[in-house]
Amino acid sequence: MPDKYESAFALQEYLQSLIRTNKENIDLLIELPPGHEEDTWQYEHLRQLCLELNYLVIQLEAECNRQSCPEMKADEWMYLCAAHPNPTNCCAIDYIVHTLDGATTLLNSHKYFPSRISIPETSIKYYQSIARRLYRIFAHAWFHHREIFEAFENENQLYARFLKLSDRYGLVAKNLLIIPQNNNIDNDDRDNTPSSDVSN
Amino acid sequence: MQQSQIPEYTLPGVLHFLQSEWRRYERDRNEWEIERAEMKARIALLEGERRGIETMKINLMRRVKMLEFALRQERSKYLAGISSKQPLTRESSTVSTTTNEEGLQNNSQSTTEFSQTSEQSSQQKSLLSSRDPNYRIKSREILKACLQEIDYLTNAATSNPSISNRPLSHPTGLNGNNATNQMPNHRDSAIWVGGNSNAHNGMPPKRLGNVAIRPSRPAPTTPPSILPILPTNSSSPPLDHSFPTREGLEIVSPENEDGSFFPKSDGKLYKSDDDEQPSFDYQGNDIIASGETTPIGNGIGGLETNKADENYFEKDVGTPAFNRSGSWKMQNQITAKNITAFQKNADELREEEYQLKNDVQKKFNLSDEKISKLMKHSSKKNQGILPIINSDPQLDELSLSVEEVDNAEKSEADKLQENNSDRKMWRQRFTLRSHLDTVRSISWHKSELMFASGSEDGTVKLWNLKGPISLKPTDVPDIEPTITYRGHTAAVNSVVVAPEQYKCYSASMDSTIRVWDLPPPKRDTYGPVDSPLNLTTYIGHTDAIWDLRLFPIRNLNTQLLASASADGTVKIWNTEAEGSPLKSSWGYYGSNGELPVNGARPPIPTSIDFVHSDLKKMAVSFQNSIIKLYDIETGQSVVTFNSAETYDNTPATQINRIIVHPTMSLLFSAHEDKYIRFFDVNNGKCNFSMLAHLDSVTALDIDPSGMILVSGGHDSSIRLWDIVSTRQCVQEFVSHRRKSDEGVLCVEYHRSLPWMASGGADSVVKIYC
Repeated sequence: MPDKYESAFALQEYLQSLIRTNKENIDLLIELPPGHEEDTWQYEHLRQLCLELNYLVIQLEAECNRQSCPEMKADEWMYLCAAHPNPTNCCAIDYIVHTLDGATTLLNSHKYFPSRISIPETSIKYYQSIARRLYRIFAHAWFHHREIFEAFENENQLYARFLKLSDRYGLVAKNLLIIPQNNNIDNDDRDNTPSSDVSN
Repeated sequence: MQQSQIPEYTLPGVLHFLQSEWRRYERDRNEWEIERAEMKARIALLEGERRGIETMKINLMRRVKMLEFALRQERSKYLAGISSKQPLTRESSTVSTTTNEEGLQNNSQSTTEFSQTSEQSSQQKSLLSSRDPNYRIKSREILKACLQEIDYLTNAATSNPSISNRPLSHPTGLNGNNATNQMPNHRDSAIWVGGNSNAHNGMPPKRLGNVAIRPSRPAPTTPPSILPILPTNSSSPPLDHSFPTREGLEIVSPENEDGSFFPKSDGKLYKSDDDEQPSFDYQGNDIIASGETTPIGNGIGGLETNKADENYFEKDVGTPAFNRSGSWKMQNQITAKNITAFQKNADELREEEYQLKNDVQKKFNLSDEKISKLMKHSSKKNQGILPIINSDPQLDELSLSVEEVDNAEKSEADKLQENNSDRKMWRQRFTLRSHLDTVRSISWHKSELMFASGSEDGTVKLWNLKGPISLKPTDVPDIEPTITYRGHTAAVNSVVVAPEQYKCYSASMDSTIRVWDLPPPKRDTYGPVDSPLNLTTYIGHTDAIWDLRLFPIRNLNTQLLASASADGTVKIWNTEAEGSPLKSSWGYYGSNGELPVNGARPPIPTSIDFVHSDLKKMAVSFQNSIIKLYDIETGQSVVTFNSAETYDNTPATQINRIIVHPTMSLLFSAHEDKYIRFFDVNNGKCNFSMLAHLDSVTALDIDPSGMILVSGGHDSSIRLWDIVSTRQCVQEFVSHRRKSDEGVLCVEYHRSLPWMASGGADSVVKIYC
């Protein structure tokens, strides 16, 4: 971790400069800079994910709408939107937008993440729920808008980065990773019943 | 064994001891309770007062807006090439309604003193336009002349107009006092009215109404009437004026004081009077009574002090005196009573506007007195009032102009200091976190408490503060944006809200301008996205767009939007055109100017603004630190500013932002090399140049009254500058944290409400009030 980043946003600056210069080198992107906490590093990654997922959403909006995808589905799964007092069956694009908005709000929440230098112990548990929901955006894009997904992934390698991050820090349970990976297609745990997520 | 060791502890003894202890405890507790109740009452009082002041301020802003609107209409008329005569008269009639009453009274009861019919039209114009700072100097001159004339006429008997001598040398010169003593009281706008209406006696009613326009607008506001007990005044030695207050007042009979005392809003004098001679308060009451019943102020000097004038004084100046005495008498009454009185007054507020003014003033003076009393408990001087006094800068200006007319003994520096100390001090109210990266631009809704913010994370967010504002500052949860506009594929550099069109524009590094639909204000953050938010996209630029401005006036079928891009061009878009929105486009050398000889890339525009005083022109700043004025229609360069004083051929000295004053022909530029410069729009000359920040200056805005310039820079600070008189920093605060060597990136005032917002590199938007 270079010393030139001295501000309170050192990690963010560092991560962003890595992305600018070394987008393909995912291992380097994920590598925890020395002298920093895992918690804050994950936090910055999640922020950056939300930021860059916006650009995927923009691409998705072109063909994903209430008519084309009236429900948030990925493969056989159907997700209910947790952004409402009661889980609601939002259409896919609404689900995606709400999820992103919700994650952004949570990551920016003064209550849960008052500082970007140290993360309260109690807030770390939110990483998993955020990652789990963000994953569904990828999943929906992969299963229903493959071309957009591929084009975006070629450009940004965002999913690869996400996967690596999740793998490294155990953010998303293995059995929930429904996008088939290149070598081992992991369909064992697939559940054919609609699942909803009401946890917060 | 043990019992024998402590024989003195007998049961009755212990009981007695416990009882007495208990009693003592109870007594203490009661005292605390009482104290607590007192404190609570005081808090309620102060809070009520604050609310009142806020209401006043909003009222005042509304008035300013009304006048601004009129001015804008006038301009649009001018722009359309229509004679400006019609809007002028219409404007005057609407504006003068509030003051018509006085005006009429004034007229009917006054005798013709000056016949100035020949000047009438020109004066009317100048007085009307006195709202426009362009003409302030002009009107000031005229007023100065008038006041001098009055001075001469009324002071024929005396040759020494200095304040300190006046009460003594005019023991009987009622009108002389009335007229001359008004002037030194730079604080009080009502005095201005007095001088004015005296000067214009015998004019048509409408005219008089107009005459009273400007002063009458600030008159109902609290600052002038609070000022008499301002700590700034009282903090200076009460007797340093060597004004023989006691002797002077003793010599002068109550009737005389009607002239000499009432206009005196000077806190020192009041203060010392009250302290030394409480009995004087009754005289004050007498005066009011006499003022109401008979027009006593006739006589010497030939100047008629008519009843209307006196009434005016009573209302605006006299009441403070009355209330002071009144509240002294009520000294022993409980605070709760004051509060109920306050609430009662507050109810009346809504009923009648004029009544409102008086009531509020009354009430404020009452409560101010109360505060000063409370403050005295802890310290002899009532220093603590200062923070709650919010003075409208325009009032300061007004008072300043009166100050200038009068050659009082106070030094210029003193006055300015006072002006500064009365100014609104901004305090942070909300911190809005939702952007994931540097916030680059903010644009307020014209009238609602709504704004859009554009960020480097590629999104534009729309915020509505109507909900959060009603909550207590401590209870405010994380405020979420009403909507997040996603569409730009790169950082957003500039946003503009166009409430009249129900649209929002944003310009981005991705070389597009996107037009967004403003949702209904009640939209749920997590509501379904039914209609596409991105209405359309303007494609035309071939590189990042740096700045975006909306033409200040919207006509029926045109609403122009200007953009400046790194592709070297400035483009004008007609947002309401059918078909292609692009109206015109030009580069550094103008639309058909010669191209650079050596084939070098022409300089890139960095910032743009429309010239409000001449809406056919637009100012553009370039990376080479040059500012040029272009004709919007032809795209030709009209004026080149002398702005590259410190330019050294690197972007480190470029201009980051320019802003044109909404009324005056002034342009301000923010430079990368820490300078802020003031230019005259007409000739492009630099009037003033200052090192304004510790790092690059990035953001500029001018407050709605046109008195204060706010600037933000990479040093993370926001600074407010008095641009009218001192050109000094009025307030400074550190606001945003630095990221990537950037600090504050945008600051903007709300156009009609007393709010301000700033965005910075820390991805946060801060709201001040």
